[in-house]
Amino acid sequence: MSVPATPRKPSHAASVAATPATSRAANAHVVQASPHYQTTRRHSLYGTEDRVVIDPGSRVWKVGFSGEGRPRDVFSVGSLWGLRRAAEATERDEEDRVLEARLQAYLRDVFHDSLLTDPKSRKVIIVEHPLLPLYVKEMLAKILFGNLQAPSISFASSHLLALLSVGRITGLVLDCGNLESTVLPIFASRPLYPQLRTTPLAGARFTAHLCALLLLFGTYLPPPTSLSAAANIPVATRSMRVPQEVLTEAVLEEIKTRCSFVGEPLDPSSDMRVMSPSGGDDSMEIDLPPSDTAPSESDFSRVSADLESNVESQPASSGFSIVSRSQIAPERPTRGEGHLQALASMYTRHSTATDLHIKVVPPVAQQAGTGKGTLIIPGWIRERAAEVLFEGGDVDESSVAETVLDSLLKVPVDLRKTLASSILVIGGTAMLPGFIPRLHAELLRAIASSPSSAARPPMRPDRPRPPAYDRYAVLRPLVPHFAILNNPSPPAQPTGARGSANAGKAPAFTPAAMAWVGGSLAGSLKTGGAEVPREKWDEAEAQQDPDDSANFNIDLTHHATPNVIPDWTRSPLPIGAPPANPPPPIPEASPRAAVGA
Amino acid sequence: MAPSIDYHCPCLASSPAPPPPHLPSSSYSFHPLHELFFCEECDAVRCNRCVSVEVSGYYCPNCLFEVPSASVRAEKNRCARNCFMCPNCRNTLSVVPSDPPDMDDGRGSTAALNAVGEPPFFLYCNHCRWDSAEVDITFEKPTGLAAQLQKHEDSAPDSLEFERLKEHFEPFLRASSSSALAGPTPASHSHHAHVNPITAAASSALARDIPGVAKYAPHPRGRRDKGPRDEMSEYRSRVEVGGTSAMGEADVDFMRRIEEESEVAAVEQRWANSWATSLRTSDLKPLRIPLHSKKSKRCPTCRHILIKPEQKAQSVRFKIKLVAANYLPSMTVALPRPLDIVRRGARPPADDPSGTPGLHAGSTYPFQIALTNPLYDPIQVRLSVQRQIPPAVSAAAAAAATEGGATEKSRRPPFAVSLPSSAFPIAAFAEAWEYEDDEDMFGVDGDEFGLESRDGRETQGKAKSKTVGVLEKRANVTIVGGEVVIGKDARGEVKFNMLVSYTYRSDDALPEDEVRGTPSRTSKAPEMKTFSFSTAVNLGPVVPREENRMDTD
Amino acid sequence: MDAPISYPKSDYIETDTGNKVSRRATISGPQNIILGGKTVISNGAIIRGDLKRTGPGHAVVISLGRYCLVGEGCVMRPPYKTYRGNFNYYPMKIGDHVHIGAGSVVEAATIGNHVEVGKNCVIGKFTIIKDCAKIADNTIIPPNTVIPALALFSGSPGRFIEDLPESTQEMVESRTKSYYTRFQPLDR
Repeated sequence: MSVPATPRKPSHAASVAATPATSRAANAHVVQASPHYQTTRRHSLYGTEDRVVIDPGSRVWKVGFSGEGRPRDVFSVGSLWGLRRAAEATERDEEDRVLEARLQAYLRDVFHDSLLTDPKSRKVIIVEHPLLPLYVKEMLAKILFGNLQAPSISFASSHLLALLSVGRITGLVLDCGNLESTVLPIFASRPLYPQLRTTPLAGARFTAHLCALLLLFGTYLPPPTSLSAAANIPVATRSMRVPQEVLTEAVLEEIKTRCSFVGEPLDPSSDMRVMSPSGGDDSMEIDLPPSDTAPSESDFSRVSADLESNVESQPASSGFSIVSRSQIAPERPTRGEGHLQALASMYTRHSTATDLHIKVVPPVAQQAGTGKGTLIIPGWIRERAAEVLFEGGDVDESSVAETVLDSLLKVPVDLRKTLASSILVIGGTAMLPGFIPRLHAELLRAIASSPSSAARPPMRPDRPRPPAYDRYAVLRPLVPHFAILNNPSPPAQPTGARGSANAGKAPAFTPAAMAWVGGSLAGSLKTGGAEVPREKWDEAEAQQDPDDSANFNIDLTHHATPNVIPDWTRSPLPIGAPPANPPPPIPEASPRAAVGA
Repeated sequence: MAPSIDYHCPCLASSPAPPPPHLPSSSYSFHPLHELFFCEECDAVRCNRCVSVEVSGYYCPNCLFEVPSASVRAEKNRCARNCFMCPNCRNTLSVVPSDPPDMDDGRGSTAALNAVGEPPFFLYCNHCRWDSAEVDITFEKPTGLAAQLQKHEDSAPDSLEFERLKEHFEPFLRASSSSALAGPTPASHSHHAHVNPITAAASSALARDIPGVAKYAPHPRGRRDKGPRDEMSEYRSRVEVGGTSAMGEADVDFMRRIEEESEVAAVEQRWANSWATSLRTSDLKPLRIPLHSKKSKRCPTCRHILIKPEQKAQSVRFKIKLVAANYLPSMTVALPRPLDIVRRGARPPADDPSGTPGLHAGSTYPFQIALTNPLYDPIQVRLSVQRQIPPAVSAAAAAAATEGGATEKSRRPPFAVSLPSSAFPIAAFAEAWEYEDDEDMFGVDGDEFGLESRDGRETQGKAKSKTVGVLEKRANVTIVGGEVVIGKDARGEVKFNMLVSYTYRSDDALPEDEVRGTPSRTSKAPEMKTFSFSTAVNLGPVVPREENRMDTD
Repeated sequence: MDAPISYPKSDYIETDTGNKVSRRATISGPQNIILGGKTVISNGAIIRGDLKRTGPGHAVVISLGRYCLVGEGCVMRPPYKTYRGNFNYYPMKIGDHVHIGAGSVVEAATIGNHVEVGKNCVIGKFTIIKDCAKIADNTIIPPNTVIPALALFSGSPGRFIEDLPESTQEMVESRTKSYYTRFQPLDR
């Protein structure tokens, strides 16, 4: 599906000629496998009982052995794949080659460096995100079976595994990862894939938003050109807008993981008030309430003292916040920024978070200076950058809370209460302090706020359309039941509602690790998802080979190989599953297209 | 970057032709010669991306203790002696007594102390000055620290919770597998093909009872009798997340007030914790040092061993070591420096990258490739430039020609390379070169260059500009010249694929390597064999026209 | 093809075992220093053979093997500590084929054979570097660190990066030998 056709196949076909490498047919190792197996078994210290559990994210991988409560190793893999692939065939092939080579390197590292174990003697459990692109999954299988000779691979749904890690098999699981936030209802251990809902509001979007905010509202102090200059030039004159080069991926990642958190929802009344004048952008400077500058100022003077080791900076510091802002101000008459401007003024008013100063590597042009530059992150950005995840509105990009509710709406009525009272939030983005309590608040707010906006649709006198479209009306009775299982600060609900019985009752595993822990648990319970043994894979490969050399069929492999790998988007749904769209015939698009809203 | 030649390992390729070097993906297929292996059985080059790796021994990289494989499991691949890493900077920690002897050397009282100092002991980082007393970790004695900490780790909340979860699910799984899986083996224990396409919590029993969620009884809770969900009792967590302080409002509060980013632990320091832990840097615990392994490597195809290290952890010798450098001629490429004023004494321009001139667009440059023969027999070598688009792919390219072809064409290298077209010999490697006296060979080398440099390089340039061909032969080294013509609008790097074929006399399957010591080999009927391999030659970046600088001639 | 590295003949003293010691290097306590032969001590290097263990007579303080290079401006200083109340220096032993890049400060206890130390490194007191290890440029190795064989260390503090290829020994050996032979006087 993903690779439409041409380039890969013919090259394969032509390779029959000679090179020793291509003679590495399946037969070679199948024959060799058994005697060798024994020798390695003897060497293998673990027995083969424990499986290797790999949770391969697009940015972070967690790996370890089943039966253990925490992964052995967690490492960053940069950014392996994204939401879209190159449209053009040759370009995409190249992308795929690079991806495969990188995946191979990481997978080899997992076994050889992180786990120090022999891949030939270990069954592997892959924690599979339901929207893991199929081509990535195939690559993983190809490398594990081909390059590493793993005896078998199981693919297990990350959402389900996460539920296991909290001792349940039923729940509504939200995975807020890097590329997407995905909601999947699971009932009695069966993922209800047709009800899966997703939104691109997730880690990557958060990072982008953070970057935009910092470019607009952050302040940058380049390193002083000389040590004496540091003492003499007031900081105010040095401060400037944040140069783009300073905000490298690493810096943003650091701000995201060490400085950011999620504040409580804002008071809706103030919300309304500020949102309305969102057009006016010049009111900004005046709008700044003095209460805001106070913390930043004191904070600033402390740091400036560090910087300058000179007391005379004190007067400069008071001027600082004004100067920096007025320096920035004239540069931004652009339209879209007006909105941000309004947001900024609103957020600054409501945030008491401290401003932070972090050291960053200056852009190349300024590296003549002494040491590192300083990036000043306003407290409200730390607190409110995550708002982007909770602001829905767009049809394709509903907020995280709306995504949860949308999924719940799709769920059969009689399951709703059960699922609403066992929401589980997992994923790296959910590690932001305050994320989960905020999500809970947002869920309630989304349900509650819908009717207020109901006035919008123009009423026609002739057709008394009852109440305007109120999306979540049906969910409103469930409000007391809403509970996030791993809510670290469960709302105090003295009632005997189901919600309060469940909220915060999950074990204190971190959201990011839950899927892995569940994989480990599944492995130690000798279960795990559909298992593909290597024999099966080899068979499929062997079948495809003769065909290959015989006729010049181009896309044959592409169907032959992956059929071995279980894939929920292809296999017909199990009997009894609710009628869904017919199993997608796997068009050119990724599986997402078939499922997405 | 200095010009380089990398060797192709075909393991990633789907075709015999090497990938064109301008593609970023090609960098994964080309390796420096010294990183490659050679399988005699398959007569093929192998690389670290394709060999199968086995652990032949474990050791701690800090105390160098060779850990018996039996205890590696229990210790979770970590050193179980005294080795810890600083949670802050990952430096190794030292054990220090609680009252460190004064730096003042002449203090009399310290002499009276026993060698190890006073308890309690704690771990101290020599680099960032972190110490374990900050997090209330101290030791009664300065040895067996890991054992002293072990109790701590065994009672870690994550492992206790994990055990409880297992107990929770086990009876449930047992029940469901016995009732439902009448057919195939219930346990996925057996290694054999037993694909049960069940969902992950694992049993078809779970799926069985749900006749369709849509048709479900109106009150799911009422279906106590049948619903599999209800076969399972409610799980009660040992530690509920709602009860812990971590991750809740306290964290938000903490985050709101931090003054320094460094108060919050970096994500790398936290993410291996599966259990909710404090965000604070000040709560980080010392880390046990992960073990390293010695690795043996096998050919992925025939399983023959290519690398087998000696048992001893710190030995750098190998029982078996089949590296490509012993089989393939090693090659280095250089651009003769047009105006290389020999600087006097002061700074040896050893690997000085600035010493290599830029390649200017629109010019012609000679380059030299020195080939060294590692074999005991003379070889005949033939070099040829490989076309950028391998014929095998061209069919595909043609298919994609509509849009792809155009770009492919534009990617055609904007330079032309000429190499000597005829085969040339390289003399055999002789032990003599090695043993007689090191300086003989190298000395000659140096002298020649010394001469040249004294005469000035211009003459050299003149003498060699005409030659595309063999320039020089000495010992087991032959230097050949080539030429590259760079187009006017060239940009990027001058990189091309070069196919190297060499013919050698093979008297037996006897690998040269193993008879190194004995020059008199059982010589049978000499048989000529040819081996070919691909390389990627990188001559360096092109200096675009506009930016031509003054510094070269 | 390897360009010679020339130096004015008068700048270096060559011993009969082929060691070449710059006249502009500071060699303190030469009687306590052993050079294995064919070892080069570059300009501006400082070697503190004078920092010896307390006690009479001379002991070997710093020994270097064959084909070593002490780069320009390097400082080689034996490690010291106070043990049982006595302050003392401890000897430093360096194997064969060891190159130390320019500007590095070395206070190691032991450096094995075929070790490469990059430029501007700091090798802390009592560091032990095993055979065929490599320290990348600008690395800071804190005191008491152990660097296993065939490991590449880099960073501040220096951390394990990767295993070096199996043929490292041969590579380093040929590199150090070639360096020595290229290092030729320019008599004038």
